Amino acid sequence: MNNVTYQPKTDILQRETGLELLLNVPGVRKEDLTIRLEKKKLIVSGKVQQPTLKGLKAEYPVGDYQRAFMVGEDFDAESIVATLENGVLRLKLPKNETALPVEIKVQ
Amino acid sequence: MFSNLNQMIDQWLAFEQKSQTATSEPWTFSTTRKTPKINLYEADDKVVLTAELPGLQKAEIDLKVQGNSLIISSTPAENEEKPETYIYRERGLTAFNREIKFGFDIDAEQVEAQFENGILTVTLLPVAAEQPKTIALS
Repeated sequence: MNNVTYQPKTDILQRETGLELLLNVPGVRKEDLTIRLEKKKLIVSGKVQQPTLKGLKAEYPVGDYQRAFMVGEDFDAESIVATLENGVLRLKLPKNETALPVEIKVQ
Repeated sequence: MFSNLNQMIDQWLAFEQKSQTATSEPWTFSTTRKTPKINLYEADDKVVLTAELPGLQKAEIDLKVQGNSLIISSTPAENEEKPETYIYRERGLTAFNREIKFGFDIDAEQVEAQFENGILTVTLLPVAAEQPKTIALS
């Protein structure tokens, strides 16, 4: 239909161990998702299969998704956990251990 | 059979709100979606309806067929997240109930529905029309 890329609607949640991102990416299959961490930029892209049937009416557009997030240096690319369920991508970004608050005992 | 299908769909869509309410209320952060948007496709003698329902569970979606109307409704489970957990919020799930009227009676026996990757796909067939009768001249 078109080559427009859409920004998925996103929630960002604060967790004790870091951040959690929830992205609405309906129509994207697991194998069509790419998540990259480039320096401080987290880029999520998802490809959507265009319908092959003849369209009669369209209320919502069908297109690929992409969205970039600036993240601090407190996150490791290796420790990011991504799960896809019912069109929602859940990204767990645990903070580096060095970035977590440390409790200091009084001598 | 479908020569005037487009026209019929135009007719019923004329009564539907085409734009999403979320865009008309930007100050609400678009977290509510009162009615899901739908797309319609044609395949042979079938009509295929799709709707984006990300975040819903299969069991939370209810489909009903009655005469010429298809009713999609959902009452999503309560959000367990505390409001203070959110740093940024755009997504949202609310209960909805949307009735889509077609220009033909839907064959309830032949409705197929799937929910995959957050997309609901419903395939509808009209009730088979009666065959024209040949009347022999006496």
